[in-house]
Amino acid sequence: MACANFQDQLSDFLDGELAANDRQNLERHLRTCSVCTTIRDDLARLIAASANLPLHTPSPALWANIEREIGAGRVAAGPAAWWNRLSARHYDFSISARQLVAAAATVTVAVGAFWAIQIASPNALPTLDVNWNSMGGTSSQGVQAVPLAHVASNDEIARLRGLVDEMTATIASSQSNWSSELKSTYLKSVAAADARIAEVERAHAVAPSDASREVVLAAYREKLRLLDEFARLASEARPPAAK
Amino acid sequence: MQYLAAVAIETPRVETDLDLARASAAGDTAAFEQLYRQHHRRVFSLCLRMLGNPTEAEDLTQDVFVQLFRKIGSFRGESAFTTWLHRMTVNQVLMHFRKRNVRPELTTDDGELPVTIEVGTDKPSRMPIVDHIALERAIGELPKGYRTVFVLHDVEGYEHEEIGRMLGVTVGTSKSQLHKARMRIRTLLDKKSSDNREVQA
Repeated sequence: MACANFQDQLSDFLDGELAANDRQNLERHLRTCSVCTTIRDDLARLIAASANLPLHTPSPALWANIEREIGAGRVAAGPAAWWNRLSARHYDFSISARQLVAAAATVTVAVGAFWAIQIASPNALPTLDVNWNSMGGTSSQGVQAVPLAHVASNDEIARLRGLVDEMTATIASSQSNWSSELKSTYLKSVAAADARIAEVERAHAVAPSDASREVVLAAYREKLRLLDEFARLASEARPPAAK
Repeated sequence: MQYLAAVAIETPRVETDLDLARASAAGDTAAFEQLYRQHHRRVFSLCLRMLGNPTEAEDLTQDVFVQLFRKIGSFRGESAFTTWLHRMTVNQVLMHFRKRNVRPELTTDDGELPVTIEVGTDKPSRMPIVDHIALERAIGELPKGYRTVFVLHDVEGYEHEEIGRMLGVTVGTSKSQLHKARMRIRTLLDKKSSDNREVQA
């Protein structure tokens, strides 16, 4: 058989789809033909490279477009949706080695996801404006403009740590009417978030880099996001007197 | 190390997507945003490779996620969420081709891509190390039908049977298109490197 026929079989051969008989003939040919062997090796490398192509990232504005489009027909999500969410979902505080590499390459670790917390703080006294009302719409528990205790340091980590403390205190003051189940969920979540923070802070202390710092920040932001949701829940769990 | 917090401790990853899908179906856009964050790069990459145009790929990615949001209540978790979403993406791309009246140009076996046969007397020219950028460019240069089969099989990992079903062709056609696509890419990569050699000489 000519090289042309053998070359036609190379893809099936590499994909393991060649019948035993054909495979043996091809293998015999490959032992004596350097041209076909080269092509086989090239295709094998091509297949391996294709399976491991890096992902592309669309423009960051894309989510906003999608949100606008789905927002139009969206059913307003009331407290029930928050309950569903907290009971239907868990938080993943792990950041894999691959994400770490990505963080080092691009330092854009999901900052946009933390839309609920807006910091209005270019000047001397930063304030925390928690967007309590964005989902429920009618909550009267607008806790806004909480002054920050930790403004002395310019450091972003310290700032986030301060926000975490503020929100923890706010939640603690409104926890009394929580069910024991919710309380235990809260404690477990916070413990996991703290464990994650401790782990990445340790790593950051041992080998500080921009990437490790970003991972620490991400861990704090994730905890903030978690606290924010419990804070919402706390405000919505109150008797609906305002309605 | 994994710390999975809160309600679903020790729940496998697959259920994370299912949980988020359920919350999204209940109207929770923040949960949906998380799904988007986790999957948008895979969806966009698939669209980009099949379409070869970043603007179109973004438009289509948007369409996919809008459609996903509307249909997410029908995801019951029988298959992995990624499988479901990628299948939806492929369908969306194929529908886009049809809308634009672009025939997937899956020709019969003697299609327009002649495979260069190398024979024993030629000096074997070894393809250079495959770098991602050159490979992406070569994929982009494939005729659309070949590109579709190549991306689905070699990049996305679909089997010929499934590709055949999605494209409405036989397994044999899918296999033969794939082989021709691979051989063409090899030639393109080889050509690029020999062009470079000439430039250097």
